[in-house]
This record gives sequence, structure tokens and C-alpha cells, in this order.
Amino acid sequence: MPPISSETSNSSVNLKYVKLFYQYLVNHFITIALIPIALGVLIEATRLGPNELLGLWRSLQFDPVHLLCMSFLLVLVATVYFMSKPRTIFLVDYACYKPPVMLRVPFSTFMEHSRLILKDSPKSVEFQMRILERSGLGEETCLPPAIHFIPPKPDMAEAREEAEMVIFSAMDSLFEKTRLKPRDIDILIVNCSLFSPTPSLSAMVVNKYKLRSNIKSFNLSGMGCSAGLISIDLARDLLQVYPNSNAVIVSTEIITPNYYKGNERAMLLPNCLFRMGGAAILLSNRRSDRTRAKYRLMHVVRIHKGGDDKAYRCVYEEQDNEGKVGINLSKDLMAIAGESLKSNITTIGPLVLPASEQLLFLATLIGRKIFNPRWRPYIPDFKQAFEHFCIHAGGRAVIDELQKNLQLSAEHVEASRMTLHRFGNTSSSSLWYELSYIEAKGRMRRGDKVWQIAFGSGFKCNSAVWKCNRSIEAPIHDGPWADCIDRYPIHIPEVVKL
Amino acid sequence: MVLPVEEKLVHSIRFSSVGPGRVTGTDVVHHPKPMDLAMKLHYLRGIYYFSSQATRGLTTKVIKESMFLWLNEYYVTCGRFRRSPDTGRPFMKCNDCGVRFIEAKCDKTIHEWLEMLKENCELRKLLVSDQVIGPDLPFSPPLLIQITIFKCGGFALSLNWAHILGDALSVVDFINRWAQIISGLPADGLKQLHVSDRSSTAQKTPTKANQEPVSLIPVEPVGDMWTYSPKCKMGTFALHLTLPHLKHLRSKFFGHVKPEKVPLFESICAIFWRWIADVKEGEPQVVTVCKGDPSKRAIRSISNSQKISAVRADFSVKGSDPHELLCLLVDRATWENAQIEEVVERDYGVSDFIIYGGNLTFVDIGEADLYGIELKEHKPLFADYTIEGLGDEGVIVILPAPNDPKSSGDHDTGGMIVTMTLPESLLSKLKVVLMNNGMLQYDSIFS
Repeated sequence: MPPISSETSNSSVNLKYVKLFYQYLVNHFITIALIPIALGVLIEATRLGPNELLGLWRSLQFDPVHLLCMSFLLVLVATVYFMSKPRTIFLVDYACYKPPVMLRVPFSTFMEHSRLILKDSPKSVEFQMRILERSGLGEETCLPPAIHFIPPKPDMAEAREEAEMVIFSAMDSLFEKTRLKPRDIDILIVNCSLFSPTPSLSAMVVNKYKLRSNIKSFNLSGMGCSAGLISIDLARDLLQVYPNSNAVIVSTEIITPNYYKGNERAMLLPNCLFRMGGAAILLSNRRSDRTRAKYRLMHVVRIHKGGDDKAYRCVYEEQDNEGKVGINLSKDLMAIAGESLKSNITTIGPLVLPASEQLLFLATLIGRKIFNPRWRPYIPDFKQAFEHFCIHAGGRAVIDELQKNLQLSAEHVEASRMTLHRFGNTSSSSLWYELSYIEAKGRMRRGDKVWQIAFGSGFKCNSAVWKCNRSIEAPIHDGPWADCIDRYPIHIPEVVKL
Repeated sequence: MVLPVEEKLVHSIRFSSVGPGRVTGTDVVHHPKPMDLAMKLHYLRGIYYFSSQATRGLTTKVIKESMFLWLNEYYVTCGRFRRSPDTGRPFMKCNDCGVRFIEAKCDKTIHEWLEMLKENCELRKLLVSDQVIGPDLPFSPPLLIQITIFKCGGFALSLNWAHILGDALSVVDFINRWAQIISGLPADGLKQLHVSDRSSTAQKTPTKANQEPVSLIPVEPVGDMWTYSPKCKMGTFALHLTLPHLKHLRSKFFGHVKPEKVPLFESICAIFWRWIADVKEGEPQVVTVCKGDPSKRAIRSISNSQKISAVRADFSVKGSDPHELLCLLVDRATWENAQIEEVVERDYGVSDFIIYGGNLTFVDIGEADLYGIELKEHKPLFADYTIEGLGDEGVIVILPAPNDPKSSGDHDTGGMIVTMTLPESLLSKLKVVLMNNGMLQYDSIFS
């Protein structure tokens, strides 16, 4: 036995080196090609000698007019280039909401309350228990005050209170971190999928902080867990139009009005997974922010699969047989998520992957089309393109699926898993908690690229690519992980025995 | 009895849970001692009444917030009981499930309520939960706290405490600690709860080996429904023995005895034993006496460390001299803690027993710092505890009374409150005896 295994390990090591060589060759092709040319020129130059070179130069016969025209042309080309380049969007800083400990929901409390509220449906209680055991959530996730009652009392006043608590807290934290004055905000975008009062949440923010009357405010609702990146995309487009401006984005999900009061199993799932959370982000296109900004936005890719009926209905808000409103999650969810991810990868691949990966993908694609359709499709190695991954903590299954599809290691998905454990599924803001985790661990260095992927109802798969502008040193004294980062990472068992 | 009309007095009831702010950890388990298991069918129900000056600024939100800090130190009260799969012995899983928190409102002012309470002691049932542990052990909270807010802004804070967690001194320490935390005293966030070790109680009177304890009465198995229902209907009556009353009783019954040989608790027990024997058919020959033991407690510990003793009278108690009964109580009380523990352990703590009410029981909570609790430097207007899940013989609880705020400087103005839970027929006869002895005219402590 041993000789065979050493042989296979030898061959896999050899393969690894071959792959590395190939990658180096392709990615630095131009450099490698230029070296012989440069050497040639140098050798020729030394062979000719300085006098001959000077003679060559004089024979070119430049006169002042030519020179002027040429420099004018150069300046024109350079100006056109710089003017038409899209503005760089900086992420100056962001703040995540940290719920107080008195809102925490241990598993046992959740289950006991469930039993009392659903006392006529023991099967539904059993279902919730099984979900919770395998959910990957921890004992410190939080629900808003209205949901702590037996039975919960989700009225509109409580929903507004939760919104104020989460949004204002995140905004105050953002103002402190960035020294931003409320009157300096030019663009405000608030996204909250399931709670959309009149006046809107963005109006609520304008009212609280007395923002300027000519502010460009937007309120996105109904767009699901991927709405955070939709807001980023919207902010980016607006910041192309308005020079020298900044944009504040608030991403949150208000849990209070959406607690499902019925006992339909597919609709009880969100009750088990969704938890309180929110984030406020400051984007800017001002050159003065380029030194202090944490990240630059490189790409945003949005994929909408709503054209497909199955995808459209897989996360659907509707009334159950008793007229109670809830969100129905279909069984095809993971498959549809996988499909939308493939589309997203296909679009983002050419933008971020190194040439070596793109060539391999192209070769396999051509090969499958022309030679043999049974060739396995090549999954590009995204670890070559990104140092960090923030996968929306929608649930354990989502993270497992993406880890498998993108062939990521445990450390790559650590931020997602730990965020799911500590904060639960906070919907659109979960990406920011994950980014905060990576920073708190001291892993974010200048030049690192981060890929944020979010899924949402519709069905949408959106992703954003950021490049780290300056190294972020740990330990971080503020932020949602400040008091618990040392306890992480922890091992999360497959099934937690309640 | 609480009439339906009276039930509407307390309304807008909301249930939620409060637990420790800090995660206790996975698989943290607490094993009740044999003494704890012996008490599992009993419950302590205490109510504290705070005036509006004491409660100013203390919204329900602030109270709940403080409790999350407080329960870090007492995570055992937030767990749930299970049974060991092999022996069936109860143990507690400290899973942070939490204490049940009940909020209610009342349209009377505190003073109006306390006046109504004088007429009808049963009204206290509206202010404290009567839920017991069971039938589902893993989903039954051992502690339920209720805050009832009165029209004037004051509130009543009540606890329904499962006796398996600890004795009366423990509960009083526990709730006093909450008052300290909400008043801003630093919480020992990191200090672990000290669950007091069983220390061998030195016997005052050596007992014969293999003697079955008289105070521990086995009952029919109750399964997972941890309560005992007495066979006859019980009533409750609270009597305030002011200092003049106590002086009068002392001179009447123990006038010829030196004052230092007349301890307060035992003297009240002796008098009531005699009075009850006078009116009850089948006079009680044996009484159970429970006294707290402050010396054996560690700080922040909750445990059942009260001393339980049984006293038997060889003579007829009816018409006897209370001094003789007093001598029995003082000299011949045999502590039965060790035997109780031995009997409970015989079948791994699975059998069910009662102590309170198995014989006529006297419980001394006089040692507890009942009025040591302060909110905004105000003591409660009134506080009392009753015992539920007790046996047919009844229980008499002796508590300190609040100091009269109108008195001039002397601390011991309060006297004692004697709360008696007895069969209704016996209670009415006893009230006649109390009236004949001039005990039922007193200045209201609530005026």
C-alpha cells in the first residue's frame, strides 16, 4: 500500500508544480516576452556605442512645430483618457449594529417560546427544533423586543422602534468613525426589504439627523437579502454623475413585522434564521478621501434570474391557509442559487481572473463544445483572484454549497460561518459583519481583494469586488466583534443537541 | 378565593423571558443535593411592594436590562430540569433558557391594594404566578418573576421560586442582589456562582442511627408534575404582631421566665402550637421547625441549607402551658437534615416527599434581611413570603414586619408578620381564638 500512496502523492505534487509553472508563464507572459526584446535592444545599443546613438538621434530631425504638435497630442490623449475613466469609488468606512445582550435568544428560550406559542402544532415545533439544531447559529443571536413576548406583539409602533434602534445606532457609529457631519451627506440610500412604512425609512433618517433639503435620498424595499449590493451599485452610478460627493448606505432588515404567526413549515424557516442586524456604509468619490478610505470598489455584478418562473417563485411572500403572511421558501432554493451563482461567475470571471485561469476555462469550454461534451467543466480557481470571501450568511446550506462549488478552504468561509454563528442571518447587512470579522482578525492587508456575494429573492445573485486601500491593524476596539473576536473561530458541530 | 370580578383588577398581562447576558456554556450541569430534592414539591412565593418614589425612572425596560446582568451571577435559576436517563434522578441543564418575566397592570394605587389585601389575603394570588414545574420538565421555568404596576406608579415585584433551587434565605439574598445591581453597584460579571457545598451539619442533639426522619413525609409519586395538592381546602391569613402585642403575649405566657430564655421565634411557635391544638380535632403532637442558617452560607450562593427539626410532645398539647412547649422547642428539637438526605438518596432522589405541611410546620424567615432591599434608597412598603405546594397540616411562616416610617428612631418598631396557611375550617376557628386574645385589633402598618 505505502508505495502506491507515495506514488500518487508524488504525482499530485508534480501536478501542482506543473500548474504553478503554467500559471506563472501565462500571467506574466508579456513580461516574459519583453525580456528578450529588451535584452536585444540593450545589446544593440551597447554595440553601437554612444556616438552612433547620438548621430541616430540627430538624424530624426525634430523641429519645434513637430515637437509642439506631438506634445499637444499627448496631452489631449491623456486628458480624454482621464476624463472618461470612471471615478474611483472609495469606501471610507462602515459601521455594524451591535444588539444589546438583553435581546439575545438562546436556543432553549427560542424552543420554549415556540412550544408555548405553537402549542397546537407539535409537529411544527419539532420541525423548528430540527432546523435550529442544524442551523449553524449560536447562542448570542438577537431578536427585537417585540418578538420576545409570548406570543410576540409585532405592531407597527414596535417595528418603527426597532428600525430607529438599529439604523440610528449604526449611523451614530458611522459618524463617529468617519467624523462625517450629517449636513455633508449628499446621497442617502436605505434598503430594508420587508418593512416599508410611509414616510420611508430614508425619510426617517433625514428627519432624525436633519439632513440637507437637497439630499438625493432613495429607499429600496422588497429587494431581498441582496439589496445591500444593489444599493452599492446605485450609489456607484450616482457618484459617477455627481462629482465630489459622498453617499451613505444603510442596509438592514427589520424583523418585527415579519414574524410568521402561523404553523406552515416552509414559512417557519425564516423565524428560525433571521436575526437583528444593520450596517451603515460611507462611500465617496472625493480625491481627499483616497488616503483614509479602507477600500476601493472594483466591480459590481448583478444577475437577475427572475425571467425564469421557478426562480421567481422560490422565495415568495404569501398568505397561508389561515391567512397569515409569511415567506415561503421552496425546496429548489439551493439548486436555483447554484444556477445564479454560475451566471454570476461567468460574468465576473473575465473581470477578475488572471489570464491563466481564463485560458484554461476557455480551452475547456471549446473542448466541450467541439471535441467531447462529457469533459468536466473547468471551475476557475477564484482563490487566485481574491484573498477574502464574504458569502452572505443566508444559512449553513448556502455557505456549504458555495464552499463546495468554488472549492474554498475552511479559512476562506470562516468569516461567513462565524458571522452566521454570532449574529445569525442578518439579511443584507451580513456581508458587512463578515468583512468586519476579517478586519478584526487582522487579516486585511493593503492590496487584498475581497469578493462579496449575496443572494436574494427574485432570484438574484449580486456580487461586489473591493480592493483594500490600506492595511487594517488588529485589535480593533470598536465594531461588533470587539468583545468576542478572541473566542473565534470556534468549531460548530453538525448538530447541536438541545 | 379570587372572584372573576377581582381577577379583572390585574390586566394587560404580557409574558417574556429574561436570562443571563453572558453565555453560560454548553453542557453545564447542576446536580441538586438530596436536601434540594426533598424540597422539590414546595414553592416560595414572595411579593415586595415598592412605592412610586422608589420606582421612579425604573421602566420595565430598565428592569429587564438589569436582570440580564444580575442573572449572570445566578445562571442556575435560568436552567431547566431533566431526568437522568439511567436513574431518573433530576438534574438541571444550565442552558440559559431564562426566568419567566410577567408584566401586568393594576388600576388601583398601592395603598388601595394593601387595604384590600387586609380584607382578602387571597388577592395576592393575582400578583404572583402560581405555575409549578411540570408536566414537561425541560420546558418549565423554576423561577417566575412578575412586575405589577399600580396606578400611582409604584409596583409589586413577585417571585415564584421553586424550593429545589434554595431556601428562603437564598431567595432573599438573591433578590437583594438584584436591587444592588439596578442601583448601580458593580456586578461581578466574571465571578461564577458559588453553589454551596454540603458541609456536614454538626448535630445539636445526637440522633439515633437508622431513625426515620419525622419531618420528611413520603407522598404518592407525582411524576413530572412537581406539586402537592392538599386534600382539604387551605386558606391564608396574615397577622401583624406589633411590639405591644409581643410584649403582651410574653408577659401573659412567659412572664415568669427570664427574657433571655424566651427566644422570639420559638415563643411565637409555642403559643400558636397551643392555640391550634385548642381548636383542632386531633391535636398536633409533632411539629416541624425550619430555621435558616446564615452562618453556613457563602456569598452569592443559593442552596437549601435551612435546619429542619422535628419536635414531639409526649403530653397533651391542648390547654398545656406554652412554656413547656417552648422548652421542647428550644431543648428537644432534633435536627433531621442528615436523615432526610439519607432517605432521599436511598432511591437516587426519585421518590417524592413533602416537608412543609407534612406535620404542622413553623418556618422562620426572621433571619433573612427581608427589608435589606432598597430601590433609590427606599425600602419596600411591605414584603412577605408564602409557601405553596404544602401538606394538609399547614404552615406558619414568621417574617419580620416593616419598620413604621413614622416611628422615632427605634429600629425594631416593626414586630413580626405571622402568615398562616391552614385548612379553612381550622383557620376560621383560629381567628376566633386570635380575636379573643386581642390579636386582631391593630394599627394598620399600611396607613
